[in-house]
Amino acid sequence: MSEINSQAAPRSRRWIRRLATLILLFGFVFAIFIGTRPSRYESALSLRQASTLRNSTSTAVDLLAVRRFDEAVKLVAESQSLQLAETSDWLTQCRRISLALMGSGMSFDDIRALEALPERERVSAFLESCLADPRWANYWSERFTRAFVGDNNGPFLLYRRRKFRLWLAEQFANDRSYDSLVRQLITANGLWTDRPEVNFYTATADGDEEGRADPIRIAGRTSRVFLGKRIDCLQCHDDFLGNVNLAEGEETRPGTQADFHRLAAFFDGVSVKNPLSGMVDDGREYKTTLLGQTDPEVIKPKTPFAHELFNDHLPRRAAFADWLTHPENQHFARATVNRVWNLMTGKPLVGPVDDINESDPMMESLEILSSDFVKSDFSIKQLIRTIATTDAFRRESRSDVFEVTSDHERCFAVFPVSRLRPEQIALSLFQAATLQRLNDESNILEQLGRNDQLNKFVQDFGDLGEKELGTIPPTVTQRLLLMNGGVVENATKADLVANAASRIGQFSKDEKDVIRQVYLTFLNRYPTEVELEQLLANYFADEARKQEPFDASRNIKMEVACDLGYALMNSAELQWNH
Amino acid sequence: MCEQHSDRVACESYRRLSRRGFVAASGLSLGLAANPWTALAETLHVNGEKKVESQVQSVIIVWLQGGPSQLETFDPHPGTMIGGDVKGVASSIQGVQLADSMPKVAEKLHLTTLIRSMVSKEGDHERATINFKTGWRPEPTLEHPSIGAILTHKSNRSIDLPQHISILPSQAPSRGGFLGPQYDAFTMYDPKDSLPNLVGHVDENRRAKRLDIMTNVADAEFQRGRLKNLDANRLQQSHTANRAISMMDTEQLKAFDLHREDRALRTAFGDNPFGRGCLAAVRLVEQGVRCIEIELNGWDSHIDNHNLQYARAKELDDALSSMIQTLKDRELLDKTIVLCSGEFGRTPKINPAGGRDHWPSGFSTLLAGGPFRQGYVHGATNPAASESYDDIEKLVVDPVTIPDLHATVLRACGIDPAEETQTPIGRPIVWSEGRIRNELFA
Repeated sequence: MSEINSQAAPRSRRWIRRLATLILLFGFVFAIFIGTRPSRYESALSLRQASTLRNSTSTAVDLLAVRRFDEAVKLVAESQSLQLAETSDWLTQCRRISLALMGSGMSFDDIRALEALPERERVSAFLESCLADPRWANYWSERFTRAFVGDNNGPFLLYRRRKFRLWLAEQFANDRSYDSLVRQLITANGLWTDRPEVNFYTATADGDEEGRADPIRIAGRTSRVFLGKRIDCLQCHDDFLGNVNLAEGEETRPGTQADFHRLAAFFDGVSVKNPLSGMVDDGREYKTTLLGQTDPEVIKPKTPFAHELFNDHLPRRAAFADWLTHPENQHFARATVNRVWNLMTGKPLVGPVDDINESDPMMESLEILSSDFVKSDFSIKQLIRTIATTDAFRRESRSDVFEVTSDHERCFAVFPVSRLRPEQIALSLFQAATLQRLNDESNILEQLGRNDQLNKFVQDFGDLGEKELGTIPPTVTQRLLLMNGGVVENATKADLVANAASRIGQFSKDEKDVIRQVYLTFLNRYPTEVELEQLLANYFADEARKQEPFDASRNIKMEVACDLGYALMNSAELQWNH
Repeated sequence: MCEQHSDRVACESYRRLSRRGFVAASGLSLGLAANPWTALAETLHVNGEKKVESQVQSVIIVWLQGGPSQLETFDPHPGTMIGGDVKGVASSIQGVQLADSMPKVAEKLHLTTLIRSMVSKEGDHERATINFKTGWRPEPTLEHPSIGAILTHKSNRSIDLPQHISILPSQAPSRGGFLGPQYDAFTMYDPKDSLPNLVGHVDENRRAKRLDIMTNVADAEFQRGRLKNLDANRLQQSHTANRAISMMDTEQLKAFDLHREDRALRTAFGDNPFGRGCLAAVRLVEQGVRCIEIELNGWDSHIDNHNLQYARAKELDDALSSMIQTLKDRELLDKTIVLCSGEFGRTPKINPAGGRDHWPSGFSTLLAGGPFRQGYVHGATNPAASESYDDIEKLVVDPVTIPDLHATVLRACGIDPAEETQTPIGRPIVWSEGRIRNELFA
């Protein structure tokens, strides 16, 4: 018995030794894996570097065009005796890019990663990383979806807005040339579930004639979005206020009711023939009763100007699409450039974004960018790169040398201060609540939760829908939402898991460090010396706290971070583009 | 139709249109004390040019989202081809019946004007809702303001609470339209829950410290070197913060504390969100709020119409009848208009699923209070009990269009519907293109 036992003991010890060896070996391999895996900063850094290098030849902007544009802006400013502001720092420019392309401010991690690069490379590296991020395509597809089809639910059975938006996101991600994208929209046929672009028409199929696209709405929208002309008032009467000029160049030709309906006539035949074939062009002739007439008459389709570009050998919608996107049809390029400029800076180059006034002093600047846009084969990404390279985009929004006026802002002698849109404010709040970049790699539950909160916030804040490129003046309801709403509360309560402010408070070495990191996370800049002194002396000083009841459980640094975070979230700087 | 706010014009317009003249103070004041609401007959200024007398101080809109069936509520046709399973119940107007789903409202009908001949051209929920709330069919480039927004815009009253409130909104809440988002309805939900965003998460001292940092450190730095008078002309930080704090601290919030009413009254309104919302609306009228909209949704009965409509009508019956009676008891009915409607009605024909579909060609709207007639029924649907569906749409006697209704309600509130105003880009527009229906007034 004892002999058997003595043989069993060495065997078990051998197994234990083998097991221990395996564990040690596994641990050793794991440690090597972790030790050699690039850190988050290094991964991001190398991504940006690679992105910049890889795309350097294809992403090079036409610096001559940029120079000409800058000169044109400078001339406008000089003609009004306006001085130009200085160039802003790289953090300011990157924040503008982040807001424009992702809808939010920058993450703390992104800033740290960029600080590791030479300063002259930071803006372009960040720009390229944003353009490569799927969030950009998704964010911009929503902006353009609102312009193309609005933000209403539309007819229940005939309209799939989400499919349309996802399709558009794919086109942007692939940098599809914008002219071919628009041609596909205008000539769309088929099932709206199978061919997402058809939703451009089905979005309007809930009017007086069920199942038929509304030519009136499409004509108005096409003119605004693709030609930069508001002609909706011409539906009922000729222009008698001098608001609608449909001439080319220096001439003036007031728009007429006939102009509107001739445009609508291109779209009248689009209807659902049967549920299997979807939307088709049934060739119906467009009829309407013009003002002053008693009976409806047939109106033939006709473009409002630049008739020499029209190819009447093509079917009517194809002919219109061809005319609309013709490289020599300046209005198409202008309208697109103006819209992209607005998305990049918060204001159109020539206002309003969808009603371009040819006598505006900034027209020449707009023409320069438009020509460049056509030359780049209507590349939206290239247009974005070009805009981000201009002096106007890079300029400061303030000056210590001269008094800033609205005139300076109008001609981009200073970068204009403009209100962020509700979704930009919401996304900026979410971004400020975390140290990492918001992205689609977070788990699905987190994404769903965030989307719910985002939608609720935007709804409560007041979404302008397809008119989102207009001005949203501040209201008391919005102020209450920011002061007391759940999003800000979650981002600034003492909770190590929930928010960045708490983590900063917990792990920073002192109050000064807390202040610097909170400013960087929330406002994407460092505090000025004046702000630092004020905060330390008046609000976070030891002396001040000595007056308060002693409480051993208080985490002072976390309180500082949360209080400051709350103040910065409610500040103008976070809610405005500058 | 040619609308978008250009930045410059919009800024100037909002300054011109705004009637609030708070002077921003550095640091934090507790806001202005509320002006007591004491006027019995308020004269409303119409752009300072024309005064239209009106005793109406407030409007309550009882909004039935989804399309209530007129045949199962205000306009039953029991025993006819279109009547379904509805039975009628005698009302306090001789010879007039309501559906037996609404016996309590039937008892109060002598205090109301019932329009049975509303017509519109919109059969889609969203479009029809916009149509009814604004009085205009939806346009792609111009958002018209809702009634509440117009009333608030035209009012020179000053209270801490919002003047335009929406309780339990679902889709298409009432908006300020081209007047600006400052006239959007302040939205809130069940009054028994805490008021949305009116309660802070830290104590007052800490709140004051945080907002002090915002104003004196962050915002002060932001304004340095930028546009002159940036805050007053554009940011509105101080103004909105002060107004927000006033609203958070005001005594007028007691309007939402329904426990100040006795239990019997709360029970009469109904122990449900809609009932509580209606009771809160009465209390808000007492505080001087100009327009309150309370929504009861779920009327879209494409399937099993009878049961769905009756379930909804029960809540409506309790709350609406109690509201009218309470306003009368508190001597507020003369100064308050109650408007009860949905965006359209439902088809006379019952579909194979036992439902009724959308029907804007003859539906009902109830009005009470203000200058409206009491005990009056206007218009009729299918009066001769036709047995054919072919021409039933045409059998609406004395139709009232939605623009007509808007023009009439605005007139009742002392606003000239034909008064011209300008949109921010300078387009002249009237408040309503409808015709005032004087036959609805006493």
